[in-house]
Amino acid sequence: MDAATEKRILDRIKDGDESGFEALVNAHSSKIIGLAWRMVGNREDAEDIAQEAFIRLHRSLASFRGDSSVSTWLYRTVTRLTIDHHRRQKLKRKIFFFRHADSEHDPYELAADPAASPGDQYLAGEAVDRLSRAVEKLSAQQRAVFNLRHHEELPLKEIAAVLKLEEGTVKSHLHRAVHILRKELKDLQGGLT
Amino acid sequence: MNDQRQALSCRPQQLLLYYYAELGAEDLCQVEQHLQSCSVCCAELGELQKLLDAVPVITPELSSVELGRFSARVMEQVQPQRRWLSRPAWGLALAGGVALLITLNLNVLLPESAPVQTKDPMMTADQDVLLNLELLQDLKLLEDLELIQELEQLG
Repeated sequence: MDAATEKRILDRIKDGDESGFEALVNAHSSKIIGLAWRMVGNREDAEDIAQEAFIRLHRSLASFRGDSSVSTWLYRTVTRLTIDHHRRQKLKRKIFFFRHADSEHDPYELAADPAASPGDQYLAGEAVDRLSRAVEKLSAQQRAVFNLRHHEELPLKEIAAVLKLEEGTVKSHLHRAVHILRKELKDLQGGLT
Repeated sequence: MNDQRQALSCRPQQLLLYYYAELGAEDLCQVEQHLQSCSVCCAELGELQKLLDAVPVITPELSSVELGRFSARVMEQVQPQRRWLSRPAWGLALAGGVALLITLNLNVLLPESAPVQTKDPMMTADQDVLLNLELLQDLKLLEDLELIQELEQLG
């Protein structure tokens, strides 16, 4: 959606035309669900997060000044929501399974159904499974930066704006993320062609 | 000596930015020049390309029906009152409920006169689970629980 169309829709919404908001949801939902899905690894949570992002957007529309585009706003919100989601999941496991160190086996991961990851639904093969699992080893911020750069193809400058981080910090997260992926997939690299 | 100078100019951190086309004009020129003469960095870039090219750009595709359903769900959430009142069934149910409350004496609903109900233990357990799940969405609460757990461990 170009900037002029978006501005027209935002003006319509401010004039009380709710169909304008529906147009925004329709325009962005596919990308936003996709981003959340890659970040959390399952469709149900991804849809819940995307829904929450749109609800927050609706609440913020009255004060939406258009400093950033709607898509940047949504990317930022979804990324924050997924980071919170990961933090929440990690705390639940720590509290209820008494995991004291990240090196200990995670009961959720041990019990995880590999068929639940989005990659499995679209691509087959051991390498893809390994890649999906390797991405899960990244911290929430590393995963966010890697997803936004590699999958969404956002420039690092824009990622810095989305995540409200310094560009240097974004670069560090990206370097770290790729370093971890290389380490995790070392034995597979010969077959990754 | 030559090798030493070459090694000094190796900047492996730049290779990732080169791969993602994130270098400014000056850095890009330097890296390209360096790659022409450094086999180590060329090999490193090759490894990086092999890995990153193999990471699939997964775009989960949702059908138009699924996206329509999602959109309807969002719109239902953002316009609860309008949707709620616009449904005749809900309007009738609301009117019926109000009429029932007026017709029945409110005392019937007071605890002392309420009939004793036997609690279904399964239902109670389910309710507890639901309550717990709802509570567990509160990140602040989880952080507090973690802190308590850590303090307990410290004795």
